[in-house]
This record gives sequence, C-alpha cells and structure tokens, in this order.
Amino acid sequence: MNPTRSALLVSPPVYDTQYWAHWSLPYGLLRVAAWLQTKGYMLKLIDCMEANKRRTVPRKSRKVRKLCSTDSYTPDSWQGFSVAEDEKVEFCFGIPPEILKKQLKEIQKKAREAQESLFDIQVFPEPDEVWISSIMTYWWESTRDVITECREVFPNAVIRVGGIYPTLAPEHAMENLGLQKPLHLQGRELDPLDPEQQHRDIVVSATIPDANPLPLCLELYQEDGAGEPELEEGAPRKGLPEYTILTTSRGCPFKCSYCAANVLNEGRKVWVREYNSAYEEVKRRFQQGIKEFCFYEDNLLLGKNNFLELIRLIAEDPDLKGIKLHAPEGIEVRLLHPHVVQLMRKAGFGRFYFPLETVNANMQKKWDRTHTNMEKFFYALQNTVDTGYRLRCQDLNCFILFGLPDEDLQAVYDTVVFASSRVGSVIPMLFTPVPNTPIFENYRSYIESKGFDLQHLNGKLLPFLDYNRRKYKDLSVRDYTALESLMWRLNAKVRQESFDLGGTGRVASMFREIFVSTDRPGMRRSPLFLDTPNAEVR
Amino acid sequence: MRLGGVDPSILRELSGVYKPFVKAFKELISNAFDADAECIRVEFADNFSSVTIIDDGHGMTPFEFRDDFTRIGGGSRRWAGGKTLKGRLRVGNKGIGFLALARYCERLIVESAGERGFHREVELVRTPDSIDIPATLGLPLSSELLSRCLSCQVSRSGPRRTRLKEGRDYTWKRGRRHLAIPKNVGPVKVRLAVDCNQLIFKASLDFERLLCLADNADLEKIEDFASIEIYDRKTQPPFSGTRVCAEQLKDFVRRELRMEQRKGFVRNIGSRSGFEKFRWSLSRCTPIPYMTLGGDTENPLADLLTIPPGSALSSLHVSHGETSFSLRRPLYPFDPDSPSLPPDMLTKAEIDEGGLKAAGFLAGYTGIIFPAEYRGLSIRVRGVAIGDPGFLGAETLLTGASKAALSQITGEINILAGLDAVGALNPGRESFYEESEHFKILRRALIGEGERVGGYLGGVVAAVLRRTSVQSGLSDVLNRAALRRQALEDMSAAITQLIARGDGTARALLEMARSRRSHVNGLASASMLEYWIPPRIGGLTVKFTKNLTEPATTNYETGEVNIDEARLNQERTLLLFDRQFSIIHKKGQPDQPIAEMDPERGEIFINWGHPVRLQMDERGFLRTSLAWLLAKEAAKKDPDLMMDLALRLLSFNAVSHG
Amino acid sequence: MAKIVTTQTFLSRHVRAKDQILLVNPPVEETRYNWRRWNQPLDLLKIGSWLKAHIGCGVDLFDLMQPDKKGKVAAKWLPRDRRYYSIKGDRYPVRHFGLPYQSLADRLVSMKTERSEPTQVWVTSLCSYWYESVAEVCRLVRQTLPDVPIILLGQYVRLMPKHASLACAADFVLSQPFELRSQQGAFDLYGKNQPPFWALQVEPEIAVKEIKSAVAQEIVDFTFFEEDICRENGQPLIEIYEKTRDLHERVRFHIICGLHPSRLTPALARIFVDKKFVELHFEEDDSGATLDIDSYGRARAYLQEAGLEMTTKHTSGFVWLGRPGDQMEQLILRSFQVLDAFGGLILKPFSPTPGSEEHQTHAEYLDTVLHREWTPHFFPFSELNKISRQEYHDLYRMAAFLNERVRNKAFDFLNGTLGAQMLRKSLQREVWKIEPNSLRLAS
Repeated sequence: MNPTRSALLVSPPVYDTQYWAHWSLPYGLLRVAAWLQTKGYMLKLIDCMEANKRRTVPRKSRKVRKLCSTDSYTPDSWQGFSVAEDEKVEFCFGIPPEILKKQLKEIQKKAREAQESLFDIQVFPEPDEVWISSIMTYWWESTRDVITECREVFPNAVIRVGGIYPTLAPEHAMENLGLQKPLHLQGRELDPLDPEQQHRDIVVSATIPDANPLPLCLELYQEDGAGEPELEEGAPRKGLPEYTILTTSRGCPFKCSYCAANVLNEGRKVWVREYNSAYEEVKRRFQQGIKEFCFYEDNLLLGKNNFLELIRLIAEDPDLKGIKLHAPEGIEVRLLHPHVVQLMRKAGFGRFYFPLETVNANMQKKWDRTHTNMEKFFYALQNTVDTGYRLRCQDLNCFILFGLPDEDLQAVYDTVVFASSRVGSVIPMLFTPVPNTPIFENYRSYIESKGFDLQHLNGKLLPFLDYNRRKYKDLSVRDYTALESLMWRLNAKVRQESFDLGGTGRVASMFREIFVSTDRPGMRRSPLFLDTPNAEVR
Repeated sequence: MRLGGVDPSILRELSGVYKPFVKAFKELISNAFDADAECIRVEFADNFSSVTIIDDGHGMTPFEFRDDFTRIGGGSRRWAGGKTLKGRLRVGNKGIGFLALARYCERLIVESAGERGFHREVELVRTPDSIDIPATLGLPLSSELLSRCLSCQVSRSGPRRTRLKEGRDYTWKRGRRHLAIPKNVGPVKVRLAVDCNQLIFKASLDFERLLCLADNADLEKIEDFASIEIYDRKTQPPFSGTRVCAEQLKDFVRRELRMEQRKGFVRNIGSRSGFEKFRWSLSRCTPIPYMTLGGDTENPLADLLTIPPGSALSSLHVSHGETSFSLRRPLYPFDPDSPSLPPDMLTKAEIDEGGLKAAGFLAGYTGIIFPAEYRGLSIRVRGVAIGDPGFLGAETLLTGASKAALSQITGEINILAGLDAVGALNPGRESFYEESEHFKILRRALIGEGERVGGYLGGVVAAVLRRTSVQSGLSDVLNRAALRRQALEDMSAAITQLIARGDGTARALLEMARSRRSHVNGLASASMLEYWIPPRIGGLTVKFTKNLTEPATTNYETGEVNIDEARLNQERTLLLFDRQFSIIHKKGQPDQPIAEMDPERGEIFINWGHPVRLQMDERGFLRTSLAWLLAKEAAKKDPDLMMDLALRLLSFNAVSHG
Repeated sequence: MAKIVTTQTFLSRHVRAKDQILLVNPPVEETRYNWRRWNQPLDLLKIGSWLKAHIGCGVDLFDLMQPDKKGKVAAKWLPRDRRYYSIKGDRYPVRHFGLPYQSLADRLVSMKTERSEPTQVWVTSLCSYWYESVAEVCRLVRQTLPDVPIILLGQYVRLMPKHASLACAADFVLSQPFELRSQQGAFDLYGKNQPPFWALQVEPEIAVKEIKSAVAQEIVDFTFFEEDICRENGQPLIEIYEKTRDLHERVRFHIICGLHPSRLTPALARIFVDKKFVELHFEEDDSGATLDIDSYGRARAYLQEAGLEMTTKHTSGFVWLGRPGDQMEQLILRSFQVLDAFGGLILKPFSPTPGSEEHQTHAEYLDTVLHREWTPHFFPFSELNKISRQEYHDLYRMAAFLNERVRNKAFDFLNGTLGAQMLRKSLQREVWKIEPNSLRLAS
C-alpha cells in the first residue's frame, strides 16, 4: 500500500482589467479534489479567488496595458493615476502571489511544527503534489506566478496544472510555466499511483473521466477540512460557500468556429451525469445550508431528458423550498420548449441568459452556428414570457458577442438594438480568440504578426482592433468603448424597467425621430451647438 | 534516588485523580504557597511545550525534597492542620501532589535550595568496618561537598557512652565518603549533620519512565525514575525559592492550551481560547486575592469576603510569549460586564455551627449570568475552590421556573474553620465527602434539608422568582398600555392627516373637534373602568409618580412599583387636531353605545362592556370604537360621509407594526 | 387656528431671553427623494444663531433629516396599509425619509422628564406639498407638550401661510422671513454629531468664517443654498474660493443648485476647473419656448477654454420635466442639448411654486389638484400637458439611458461617431421589428 500522499490545491488569482466574482468557485479543481480523496489523498485548498459575503474579491492594480498591443508599463505611482484612452489598468483580482507565498509559508511552518511534535497528525504536511487549475488562456501568467511561489516554498513537491488553458494550449503551458521536464497527459491517462508520474511535473489536458460524476469537495473550504465531525442533520455547515456549481453534462455536438468546447471535451461527444446522483448532491448541500446552485454546462439542455428529470425532482421536493437555480452560461434556445421552461421556473430558475450572439444571418453562418437561428430564439423568448418571466427587468438577458475579426459592426448595433428592445437586457461579451479553435487558426498570421502572446488576446484588450481597421479605416478604441457603454446603459432601469429603444410609445418614437434627425445632412434647425452658427463664444 | 515504596500502579491511579491539566497544575502552586511563597510566576514556553513555576518561598533542601516532595503520603500530616513556617494554613497536597502532573508531562525538573540543616542518627549494634556516608544520607553528595558541609559525631553507644575522636578512633576515607572505625568498640551511634546552606539541587522526575515501569510492574527499577544532582551553592548563580519545570507537556495538553477562541459570538469561558480557559480555572483553584471592583471601596461585598491575612499569595503571574497576566480570583459582581446588583438581591451567608465556620454571600440577578462559569456557589477551603461552582444538589430538587432561576445565581462561601480535614475532602480537593459532618452542616445551611430547597439558596431563588414575576407583570401592563396608546396615536394622526389634506371630510372633522355642544346619552353615568393598572404587580404595590425618566421603576426594598403618571395620562387623552379630549373608560351595558362624545367638556367615553369588545383585542377595540364615534360625530347623519370617514380612520396606522 | 404673523413681529413680542427654544427640522414623506442627503435646515441654523446672539435665549436643534456619517439619510417604507399613493391608476410607493417620528416623541419626553422642556418649539418646512409631515410634527409636539407654543416657519408657511394655519395645529405661522444672510449658521447646535457637510450662502465674509470653522472640525464638504451662485458676476463666490482654497487639501464644493449657464463667467469657469469643485449641476435656462442655446454654448466654451474635462468631473445639466406646456419633442430635444453641453443630464420634475406665475396662470387647473399631489414626482401638470405619467417615466428611462457612464465616459450620441451613425442606422431600419419569418436582414 502506498503511503498517503498529500496534495495542495491552488486556484490562482486572475490578472484582468475586469472581473465579476459571482460564480468563481473553481469547480474543476474541487472535482479533482473529490477524485483525489477517493485515492486517499490528504488535501488542502487555497482558493485565491474566494469571494467575500458580497461576492467580491479584493483587487490590486498591477500594470497598465495598451489595447491591441504588447506594450505595458507600471506607473510610478497609482495615486491619482488615470489611464489614456487606449489603455486599461490590469488588476490582480484575488490573493496576489506575494500574499499567497506567505500563506504557503504558514502551511509549511505548521507542517514542520506538527512534524516535530509527532502528535498533530491532523495537520496538513508539506505537500507531495501541488495541483493548480488554470482557466482562461489569457490568464496563464498568474498560473506561472503561482507555480513560481509554490516551487520556492515547496521545492520537493511536483506540480500538476489542469484546466482550460493547459487543454487548449498544452505546448504553451509546457514551455512557459516554469515546469521541470513536464509530462503532458490527457486527464484519462492520469494515475496517481504511477511512480513515473509521481516524480514528474504534469500538464493535464481535458477532463479526468472518473472525476466528472463526483460532487465538488466543498468541505475544503471549512476550517478543518474533512476532519470536522458530521453535524446533526439539517444544521448549516460553517465555512461552506453560499452556492455551489453543478455540472450535469459536458461537451457539445456543435462546432461554432469561436468555441473551444470540442477541444476541451476531446470531440463532440456529450457526456451526461446521471440525474439521481446530481439530485442527491443537491439535497445534501441544501441541507447543509447552500441555497444557490449554478449550472455550468457547455450546453445546458443537451442532456435534456436527464436534466429535466433532475429539475423535476427538485421542483417536486418540498424539502428544497427556497432553492435558487442559475444557468449563467447560456442555454440552448432550440430546446426551450414550453414544458421545459415551465419546469425550470417551478424548480427555481430566476433568470435566463440567451446566447443570442448576433441577429445577422451571415455572421451566424460564418461562425458555423448552424444549430440556431432567429426562429428558435423567438421560440425560446415566447416560451419564457408565456411562463411568466418579465421583459425589460433582467429576468431575461442576451449575450452579444463583439470584438471579432472581420465583424460587421452594423450587425452588432442591430443586435444590440434588437435585443434591448425585444428582451430588455443585454450582456456584452468581448471576443477572445482561443487557441485550437477554427477562428484562431484563421487569424493566426495576424496574431503572430502582432507578436501577441495569449495574455494579449484577452477580448477586453481588443486584440482585433487593428485588424478591423482594414474594414473600418478610422476605427478606434473609443468606438468599442462606446459600443460597450451603449450596451450597459441600455440596461439602466427606472421603476424597474429599462428604456425601450424600439418602443411604440411617444417617447421612444420621438426619441428616435430626434436622434436620427440629428445627423440629417443639410438640416437647418440642428440642436447641436457645434453646428449652430450663433453659438460663438463672445 | 528511591521512591517512598509504593506500588507504581497505585501511583498511576493516584495521578489520575487530577483532571484536567489545570487541576493537576494547581498542585504546584499549592506547594509553592506552602513554601511561604508570596509571588509566583508561571511561564509557558512559546509553543506550550513546557511550563515553569518560579516562587520566592523558602525553598527545599535536597533532604526535604527527598523526604517530602517525592514521598507518597508525606504531606498528609501537614494538611491535617499543619502550618507553614510563616504560620499559613497549608493548602498543599496530601503527599501525592508531585504526581499530579505525571500524566501531563514527560519530565519534571525541580531546582531549589533551603537554608536549613539536616540531621541523621544511626545506631549500629556492632562496630562496622566502614560506613558509606552518601548511602546513609540517601543522597549523592560529592566528597568535596561532604568535606564542607558535613559534621559528624561518633560515639560508643550502650552503657559506656563515650565520644570517639576523629583521627584516633575513626578516620575518613575516600574524601569523607567513608567513615572507618578500625577498632571494634561494640555498638556505635553516628550522628550526621549536614549544613544545607551551602547546597542547591536540581532533580529530575522522569514520569514517562515511571508510568512505563508501572505498566511493566518492574519494581526493581523503580528507583531509576528520579535523579538528583547537588551542587555547591557558591558555584551556581544566586538563587532562592523553588523553580519547577514541567517539560515536554503532552500533545493533548498543548493542543488544549493552543486552542483558539471559538468563532462567532462568544459569551462563556468554555468557548474562549485554551490559554484563557486555563487562566480562568487556575484563578479559581489557587489561593490568590479577589479581583476588585475598580474604585468602589464601599461595596457591600467587601465585608463578606474578608479572608484571614496571609492566606493568599501576593501575586500569581502567568505569562506566555509577550503576554503576561496577573491573576485575580474572579467574582461575578466584580466582573466589568455584570449588571449592578440590587442590595436586596445580595444575601449574606454566615455559618458557625458544630465547629464549622463559614462566611460569604449569595447573589441573584434579574438576567441570566454570563459567562455561565460564574453560575453557582463557589466553596473555598483555605482560599481554594473545591470543585466547580454548583448548588450542592439543589439542581436536582428544583423544577420549572425555580430551576431556571439557578442560572441567575452566583455565590462565594469561604470556609474559615472545619471541613479541611482529610476525611472531608477527596485527594484532588475536587469535592467534599458527603458523609462529613461539617459538610452536612454546610449543606443544610445553604440549601436546606429534605425535598424542598431552603436555606440561603431558597431565599435567593424566591427573590429571583419574585423579580421575574414583577418584570413580566410590569411589562405586560406597560405593553398593553403602549398598545392602547398606539390606538389613540393612530386616531389622532389620522385626524391630523385628514384635516391637513383639507378636503370636505376635513372641514367636518375640524368642526367636530371644535364643537362645544353636549349630547351624551347615559354612558357618562356608567361606572368607571380602571382596568389598566392592577393595584399590585408581582406582590409590589403600584404607585403613580410624576416625571420618571423611564415609564416605570421598581423598588424592592420599599416593595413598590412606580409608574410614570404623565405617560399614562397620555393614554387618557386624545388630541383631535389641536384640542385635547379626555378618554374615559366605562363599564357600560351591552346595549349602550360603543362610545360617546361630550365636546362641551372635552370628554370621550368608551364602553368596554360593548359586545364588540369580545371580538377584538384592546387596541383593535379602542381603534374601532373611536373610529365609529368620530365618524358618526363628524358626519352628522350623512351615511356616506360616515362610512368614508370610518374606513379612512380605521385604515390608518401611524407606524408599521410587526 | 394658528396666528399668522411676521417673523419680525413675533420676535419682538413673543421671544424673551429666558425662553428655551427647540428647533425642529421635520422628516419628509415622498415617493422619491434623490437629493435627501443635501437636506439641511439652514434657516433654522441661521435663526438659531440670531436668537442666541440677539435675544440670548437657549436654543436646541432636532434635525430629523440629519444624514449619518456616511451621508446617508434613513429611509423606510410607510406602513403597508398606506404605503401606496394612487394617482389616476398609477401607484407610487411612499417612503418616510429621515428619523422616525417616534425619535422626536422620545426626545420630547426625555426633555420633559429631565425638566429641560422647551418653552417654544419652532418647526421649519420646505416644499409646500410636504406639509403633512409638518402637521404630524406639530401634532406630536402638542400631544407631548400641550402647553408649549408651536411656531412654524420655512418655505411652505411663507408661501402658503393660510394653508399652514389651517392644516397644522400650530400657534404661530411666521409668514414673512427675516433677513439673515449676514448671520452665521449655528452648526454648533449639532454638537459632536456634526452633519457630513455644511450648507452655505454666497456671502464671502460669513462663508469663509464658516468654512474655516468646519475645516477645524474635519468637515470638508460644502454646498451653497442659493438661487444664483454666480451673482455679481461670480465675484463673491470667487472670493470665497480664493480665501479658503489653501485651508485643506480635501475641501470639496458641491454645486447642486443655483448655477445658471447664462450666468457663468470665464473667471468662474476657471475656478470650477479646480478639483475642489467636485460636482457642477447647471440649472435649465430658457429663452422663451426653447432652451437658451447661446448661453449653453457659451458656458460650455468657457469651461472648455478653462481646461475642464467633462469626463473627470461630475458635470450635468438639469432639464425640467412636467412644467405646464411641456412638449414631448422639446423635452427630448433639450435632453440632447444639455447632454451635449455638459456631458450629463438630470431630469428635474417640476412643481409649481404656490403664488408663482405658473400657479397663477394655471390656478383654475391647479384647484382641481389636491395640494398633496403637487409633488413633482406625481407630475401635477400631466393632465394639462396631455403627457401621461407613464410617458414621464419613459422620459426618465430615456434619460437614464442617455446619461449612464461606463468607464466615466458617456456614449457620444451627437458627434457623428461611427457608433452614433450605426445606432441611427439600426434605429432607422427598425431592427427590433425583425420577426422570425421575415428575418434575413441583409447586412
């Protein structure tokens, strides 16, 4: 029998210009934790992105990045600093590496003390392995920094990096993370008992099939971890997060050109988690005081029957009264049949997020979004409204994708106006090219010519701004800022409703009339001072 | 060094008497106290791996250490009435104290020195060839030390008592380690005297080994568990008193001490950090001075707690790392967080019967006592609490509210004489032997006899219950009054708002309020209802006073509840816009109107005998009857207006409820 | 019924040095009150200081609208059964802004038991349609201290003394105000519990003293309660600024009222550029039926010339909403114009001032509207203007849409940017009308 191995699990901080820490639980890592537990590992978690009660994480200015560029710099002082129009401040969200290092040293100190005392067998020892989850490809730098700190404090531990980044860009990870002669393995090839693997750093691609059906090991958030005694049934557990993440399926049969789901799941096959086990997990967690459950799926509803069974059980369970379900990742509109929506509402889904992306048929086609069209979108919209979800108040939300190369900006505006008027709430999604997707490959030469590394491709840094100048000569950062700001402002609410740009009321129609007329050439009565001859400065 | 000849398995049993760690630890404090120490310092190593107790007492000679400290039962004489050199009543152990820590640490290091001599006489029936002096003294003294400290008299015993002369009759060999008497002189007597002024020793008791031997019942090796080294005091740094170090505290002890305060809202000592709990417990079971109430020298408790001079240490400091605490004996009434204690809730306890003398107090509070560890009566013998505070079994006799009252009672009884005999206390001094006569007397005085709780405690429980009943009675009276007042507020505010809005109803209401005509019809002559305040609440007489700072105050000494009349009067007035009306509650007939108004005299009568009263609570009835009356008076027979007004008045709430 | 007297008369006949006067600022019950943190009873503070100085009587203050340290004013829904106020089918939830009435009752009771009850209670008032809370405060005082005279003052009673004398159970209504501009505010009445800002008037001698005294107490936020803060070509304001600019690094001026585009001078624009002026809100200036475009253009040019960056400062202009004769088109046009001038837009709902020109012109119409419903949030001229309340709410939504800033930048609707052009195009093509069947928009 192998002696117990110990693994430290780290969810790294995020370097980005914006971050919304709402559903930031590192579910992949927590599932791997559950898997390692079945292998007899002793575990400890450091979640650098653990959010506070208000669901925010601390942030610290890191550097200034120039948009659509590889340039960056750190100002002499952040006090009173403000960025230029073509720059954004990159923050470190969550626990920064230098604080992480202190925590690692604390673990080490405790471990060594316990080692000396020979008694504190419950204390987490110096780890044999450090498992790090790395999510977005453009966040890879924080993974590297975390590895550096772990290496320094625990030189004898071997490192495992898994997640989306190592799946999509394994070569990049092998080269850039500072690993020592790493192995590259697929998740299914991992074997903790293999002596060869035990002594090597590993870059893990794709998921670990055995881990997929396991519930997240949230207990790692509790002070004493798994050592805490089982409480009376129904007593809320201290230290557990307020919500948890459920994954009942993985994979997507479609192949949109900007999406990486196929790579992540090694093909188009869809894996579905058996509903009973998910239901048991929901029940257990609910009893422990977790009331919110968030579905993270590549394409919710693909395992529709299974999913429906699960939410039927939830909807009909009187013990689960007050449960809140979320599906913030978007939903397959094609499958939102009336009975599906009704059941989802009954089960506790408060909001819907539609991946509208664009209303432009050409774009749809270009992106290989073959499985969806406006007809299906309307179908879903109608069904949700019929079921009682309200328009214009963020019950229903549309994702709109922009910042793509060769995009038709007019189509984006069309989509924005359409979504705002018909649904009421739009969520801008700036496009990030992801390695290993068709779109990435198509534009590889541009990306290389700009000298972009993955971090420069973050959508919020507008990597395709220069490219799109081929089509729109004077395109500037301001145009994208304006577009994004337009989307946010469309969501501004008064008396719980947002403005309807396409509304039939007098205000909306007159607004349109006046706004459209402000640009009419040769118009005599212009409202604008700059065009008004008698507005000279005296 | 050999131990006093007791089976190690008994040692194991005895060492188990002291639980938890702090109870064992206190024995070391007791030892220091008995050595006439005034100041004791307790120092924990940073990681709680060891603890050292340093006292300024008179110390021990190596011989005293051997004879008293390591000998089972050696101390029992002392407890039985022994006094220390200074004349203190001893609190120390029954001769097994040093074992107390056996389960909690691996080794005990004792360093001490005493300025007293040691004498030993040996009679031998035959002249020996030589006498092994260290073996005779029973301690490993070097020849150098022996040559400086030892004096010796050898004499022939028996009928021809003559002193032998050194050099002629006996000689020293191996540097005074052996005494040789070359000639056979028959029986001899050897008197050895050691001047311990010069000596300092360091002894080590290896408990790990002792308990291990006990397990193996290997009595042959029993002597190996203790070692002692004796030095010339001049060669050592200056030192007085005793220093005991418990080394390698067991892991569970360390963990307990290191434990952090429980997360969240913490009231009890039991939820605080391990080190804090240790200090609290230690402060209860060691003879230290009371904590004092800052600045309050007039505290009535001060008299009740007089303890004989010299019966407490001057100071007991406990330190760990950077932090240091001077311990004081805790008392709830002196705790900064305790509410003030009304004089009538403080009971002085004095017992002088059959040789038992005790004095102290019991105190009852109107709220539950926190931290919970303060609850109960603490009984101290020679300044040291015997066990945890409790109620000597009264807990099991009481039920319901009386039992609940116990959580509001604390007390402190000092035993001044009696009850300190070996026969009255168990070895760990954790409880009294119930068959002890003195204990029976104590118990009878404190909680009475038989199945009812009496004695001092009975009195305090009764006082607590009386307070509770007064409080709940009073709050009931005040709450009901507040609800009735709220009903009047609602009406008054509704009228104000309707008038302010200035529509047609406003005019009618304003006219009504200002009207001076009189048209009452009988209710005025119905009998009055003074329902709102009972004459007695919880046995106290109700009195009405003006201008109290609170709605009501209670005085248990005079047996009175004072209720603020001004506030009550508000309940008897209704402000209709700018005119005050008196509300007069009547016990009318069911067939009389629900309410009547006499604008001429500014009076409104409410008929509490009206059948509608049965359908609703006091507030609801008052609101309904007033709404009906005011609507009727203002509407002047216009039914639509009346209905409209009544509904508006009824639907108005000045503030949110519930 | 209360006696209507002038302040002057009342002071000379009814106030003596031995009097103990309690000044009360009543709470407000309203559906919205976005500017509540700027409620400060400046008239009470000034008269309080005058009373102390000239008569020598004792003065106390109870300000129910006092914000907490963070500048927040308590707000609570009214009891459920009268939470909603209905106007022709539109339901408006009403909140109680400020401390609860009970806190005043408690204070009066404790004054009584401590034998420090006042000999007079002065209650101020603000907008006339908020008279109900003034009436309720009078009731509470009368109920608790039946023999203490109640004196009403402030804007409401000045504008509608007769109404006040009927609606409130007071003893005196002070109809004519008393000139107090040269009096410092008695901020000491707040004691240790100072409000987070001090309200000033543009009177250099007084204001400078007040600012110094405030800064000494670590209060660094100031606003001006003035109809025209640019009076005398801005000289007094400039003087105040120059005499206090070096007092404290963190001194901040909030220009929330009285700043008219037409009155702005280049010199004023130059001081407004200073970081100390953290917010500038411009009043609406008309030239007849339309916005006074000249003034706006000039004001904007002055600010730009002085180097003011609209993006780094909170600048905005008000647009009246709900005035009699509102034209929907005008309102939207003005919104664009103001947005263009100052980068920010705040719609300001209108209520006719009793006795004003608007009131007199529309007296007949207004007679049909309960005074309670004159509150601007109920749009009292809605029926007259034939603009429904729903439409006014839509205008608010439109303003929120126009105004919202992202990364401190507003969407540039007007300057012919790519975005504005495309937005126009999308609107012209009525893209929201896409229906599943007809769909296939050519790009």
